[in-house]
Amino acid sequence: METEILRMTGICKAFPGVKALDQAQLTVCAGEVHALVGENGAGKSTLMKILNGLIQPDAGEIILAGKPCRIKSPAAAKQLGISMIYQELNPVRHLTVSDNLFLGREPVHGRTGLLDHRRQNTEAQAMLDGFGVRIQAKALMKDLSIAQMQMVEILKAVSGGAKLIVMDEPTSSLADEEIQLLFAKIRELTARGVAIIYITHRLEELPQIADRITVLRDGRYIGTAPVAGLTRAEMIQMMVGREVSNIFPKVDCPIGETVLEVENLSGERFRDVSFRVRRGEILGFYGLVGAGRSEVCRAVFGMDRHSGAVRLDGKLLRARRPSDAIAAGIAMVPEDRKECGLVLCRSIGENIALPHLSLFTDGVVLNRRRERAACTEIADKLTVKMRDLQQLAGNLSGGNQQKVVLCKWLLQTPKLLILDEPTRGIDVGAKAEIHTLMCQFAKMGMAIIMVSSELPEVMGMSDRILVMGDGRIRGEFHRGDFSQNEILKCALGGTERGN
Amino acid sequence: MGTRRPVKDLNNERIAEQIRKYALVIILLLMCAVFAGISPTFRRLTNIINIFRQSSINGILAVGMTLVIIIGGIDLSIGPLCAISGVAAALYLEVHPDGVVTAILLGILTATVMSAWTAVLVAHLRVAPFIATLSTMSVVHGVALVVADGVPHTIRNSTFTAIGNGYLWDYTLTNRISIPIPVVVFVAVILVASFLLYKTRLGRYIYAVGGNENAALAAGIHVRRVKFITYLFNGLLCGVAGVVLAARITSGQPNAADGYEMDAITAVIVGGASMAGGVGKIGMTIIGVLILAVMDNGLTILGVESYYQEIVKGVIIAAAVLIDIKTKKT
Amino acid sequence: MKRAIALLLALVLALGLMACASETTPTADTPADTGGDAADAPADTSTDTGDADADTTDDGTADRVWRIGVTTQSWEHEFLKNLVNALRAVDEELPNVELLLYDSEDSIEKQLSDVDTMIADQVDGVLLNPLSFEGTSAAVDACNAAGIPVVEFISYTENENYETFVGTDVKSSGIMAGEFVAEALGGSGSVFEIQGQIGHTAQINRGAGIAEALEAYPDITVVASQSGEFSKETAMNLTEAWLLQYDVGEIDAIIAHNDQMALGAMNACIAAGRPEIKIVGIDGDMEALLAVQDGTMAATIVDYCEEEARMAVEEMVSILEGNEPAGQIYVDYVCVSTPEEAEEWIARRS
Repeated sequence: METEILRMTGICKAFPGVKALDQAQLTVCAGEVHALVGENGAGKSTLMKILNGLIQPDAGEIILAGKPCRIKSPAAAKQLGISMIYQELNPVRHLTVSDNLFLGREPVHGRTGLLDHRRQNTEAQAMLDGFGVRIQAKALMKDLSIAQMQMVEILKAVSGGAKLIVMDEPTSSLADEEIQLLFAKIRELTARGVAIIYITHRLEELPQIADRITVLRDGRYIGTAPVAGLTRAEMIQMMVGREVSNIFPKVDCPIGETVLEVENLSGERFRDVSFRVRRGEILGFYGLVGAGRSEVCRAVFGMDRHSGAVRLDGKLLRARRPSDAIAAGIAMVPEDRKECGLVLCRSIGENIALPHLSLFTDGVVLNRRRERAACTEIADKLTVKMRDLQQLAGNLSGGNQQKVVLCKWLLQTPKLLILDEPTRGIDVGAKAEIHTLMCQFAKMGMAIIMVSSELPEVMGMSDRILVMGDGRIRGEFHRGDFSQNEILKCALGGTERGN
Repeated sequence: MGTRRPVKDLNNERIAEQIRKYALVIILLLMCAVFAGISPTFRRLTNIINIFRQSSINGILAVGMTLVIIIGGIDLSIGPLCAISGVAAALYLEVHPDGVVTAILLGILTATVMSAWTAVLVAHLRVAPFIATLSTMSVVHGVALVVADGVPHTIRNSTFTAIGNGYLWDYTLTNRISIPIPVVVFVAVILVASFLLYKTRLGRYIYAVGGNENAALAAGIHVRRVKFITYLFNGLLCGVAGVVLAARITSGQPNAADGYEMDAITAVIVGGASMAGGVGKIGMTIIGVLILAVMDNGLTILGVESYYQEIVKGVIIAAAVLIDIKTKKT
Repeated sequence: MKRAIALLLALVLALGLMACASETTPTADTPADTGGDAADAPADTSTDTGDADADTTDDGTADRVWRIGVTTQSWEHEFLKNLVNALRAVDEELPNVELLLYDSEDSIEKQLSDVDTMIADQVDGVLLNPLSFEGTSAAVDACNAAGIPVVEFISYTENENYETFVGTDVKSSGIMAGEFVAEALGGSGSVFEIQGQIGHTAQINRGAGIAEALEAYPDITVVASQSGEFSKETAMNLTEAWLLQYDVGEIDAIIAHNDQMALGAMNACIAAGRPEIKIVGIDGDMEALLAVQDGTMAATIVDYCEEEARMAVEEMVSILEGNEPAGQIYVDYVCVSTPEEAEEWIARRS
């Protein structure tokens, strides 16, 4: 446990306009899980990119297993036993699990040098079984769940002889049981002497899994400490440099008449879903990954085919495409910011104005001044941290990107706001801000649907919780009646609970 | 609440950013300077006018291609579209020798209608643009051959041919600045396309759809409609280019514009547009067009044999794109 | 957008300035107006004072070097390569001629642009090998406007305002090919024709010539006539189809509108074991000459491009020296059908 495997000191890196790292440091011992935390933009990913050889530091020293070294490329990092598992997994989706596992080191027939598929598949299956995951080696990568892909990635790293594995937000899209499986695997690895650098925003996980924690803030090193001696509040203080007192600032506000009424909605991944949301109400959707929550939202928003009745303010809404839903007054912040939320290669301003261009059109000509004024106003209101509206959306941190998505939908006040995993992969500070905003919206009289896989968030923010499982609504809980155990049990399918 | 940088830093950054932004322009000016330094012919006024005229047809096509590439597509069928427009105009003029305006409109309309084939395939049937336009290329080329009966059709109407060979005010003989009509058309196309792309909702939607189709859809944009219109507009520009080409070569020929798609695509790519979509500017495409035209003209004047020209051209294209990438990425 | 336009304007300005600076010593006020007025006037009378690059002319026409711009079809064709080689040889040989060779790369638009460039380059004369009968016409007008004489060679334009055409009577090559086949078949048999690209002047004229020659032989029938698009491969595919369709004895000869297609047909016939079919091509490509030498091809109608190149240049010089244009100069084709003749031509062209 005490042998030092990695020491990075005095690391500096500047990008145009930002000093991403300023004298950052990190020391990791063999066999430990070392948490690397900090707000978005604190420099965690830059530090990890340097470790992985993707970028070169301007200054600083990297000592790997006692030897100073320069890591020139990800391939070099791999040679040195460093493996990265990114938040956005990037497997070759159209190849099989086995192909992915052996990518770059495929077994071949001795003489001919041709691929030995049979051996590869058997070995891959043995590896998967040995790792205790139920995945078919011949399955296509694209058919796996995110959790399963992650397992494959981890297995790939380990089988490649990695001594140091960097995991970036590994639990962000996993359900609780999957997280437990992941933790078990991590413990198996550390027992074998593998060191893990664990990047996360979910501080509540740390006592469970991490040994030590290093905090970065604004590119600078703040400190390293054993997790055991730290309270959550102390960690947060180290990260943000201030105390975040109220994590879930839920304010009760008067709940009005029904805004949305869904009856017997059925789609590909869910069936017979009925529920209502009222003005000023925050309705939480909870369930395991794959329970069908996001799909219900997508259907209401007109993104997926569906049958059943959706009424908005009592009027039947037939949303065949999102534009229909938007016209009726529904806004949705989709689950995947990068996939559906933002056009990353365009500017913040363009992204915010995108659904509302008709507001800024005189005849056929866009009125840029009015557009800019409206975007600036909303971006200021939601405190998006940006250089100016011309900055590319892709260059923002996750939290700010999410705020831009919110800006986009709040430029015109919708009647119903659907938030699918609104705080996934977002740092603590930004998370609290988004929660505060949600409360403000509710106060303004919006009806809000929030899908989240984080139980504390759902419990902290919702007036009412619907628990989904296997494409059906399994139960309904009212505020004041929330119990973590009950809700979990319901999500796992233990109990059915009516309203 | 992030740390604020000192103002001085920012200024330097801004300058660096401007340099990065105009790297291509600098490349173009450098090329001009080098050619002008070596060859007196290159810097003659007539030659400079020639360069602009030579860029016009490819320029018009490249503008259309820019929109198509921004929306995340590609169009391989612009050669035949261009040709069929000229063929249609020429055939009309054979019957009605004085119907210049109708001939022009008919040519443009024909190409636009033909491009609907691509538009339907790409926008509504979700065929990959590469494949869809490959199909269009073949279909339109075939139609052009059938309609023209495989032979060129001479255009004798001098008003029409002036579109390709005339000048805005004819000082050819005295050799003052005179603007060739193709250049006038080119500028008009630039203005119209720029208006569309930068001043209207449609333009914004083109960027959004190309940048992230799912996000565009989720933002309530009629993705299909935007794609459809973009391909149709590209067809229209092919029609315009076709009319200019037919006027320039005083005939409608079914094979006249073979291979033009590559020149247009090259110009757009040199101009820094992303093949992945969502990124690109008409102004930069025009710089790309001029870089290619200057290169062609300069090398020809220097007497570089055409075989070597192709090699030089390829290398310069790679270099221009590389410099553009490198300067953009810090 | 505004920036882009501003930029473009700046660019135009910069180019314009360069232009002016080069052509006259810039007078302060109105550079655009004074910019090289005299520079582009018809070259033979101009005094060329301001130009750094102007030839060292003393206006004594006797030892003057004539700068002649030459534009041709794409050099990627073998025939054009022979032509270009011949032109280079003439250039070497004649001390009073400087040839500036331009490759149109088979783009009509480029050919027109190249002629514009020559005019800007102030050449004394333009030798034009037009790519398109209809399409290249505008180049002749451009030269006329600039007062530069044009001699067309090998092919010609619809616009007849050129001084002289030097070349072959394309139709006569078809006639020569047709007559050779008719005689080789003894006046009766089945002939197949592989046409060039439909609409191409060579296709139209060679086709007409072949038809005219064979008309005189009522016992010879043209069974099929299809386009091989001037491509060896297309012709080969076409011939393979014919060979499947028609049995031994049903095909006596194949006439192709150029040698490449003839060679394609020859390959197909050899592969199918039908060497008895007589194959005739037009152009005199090296491969075809070698095939005639080997006896696998019956004949090729050689386009004597060396002679055409020389005649064209000589005619241009004669015009520049003030003589009346000849109007039309025909160079005869040569039918090469024996190994000895072929050998002679191979030696000449390698």
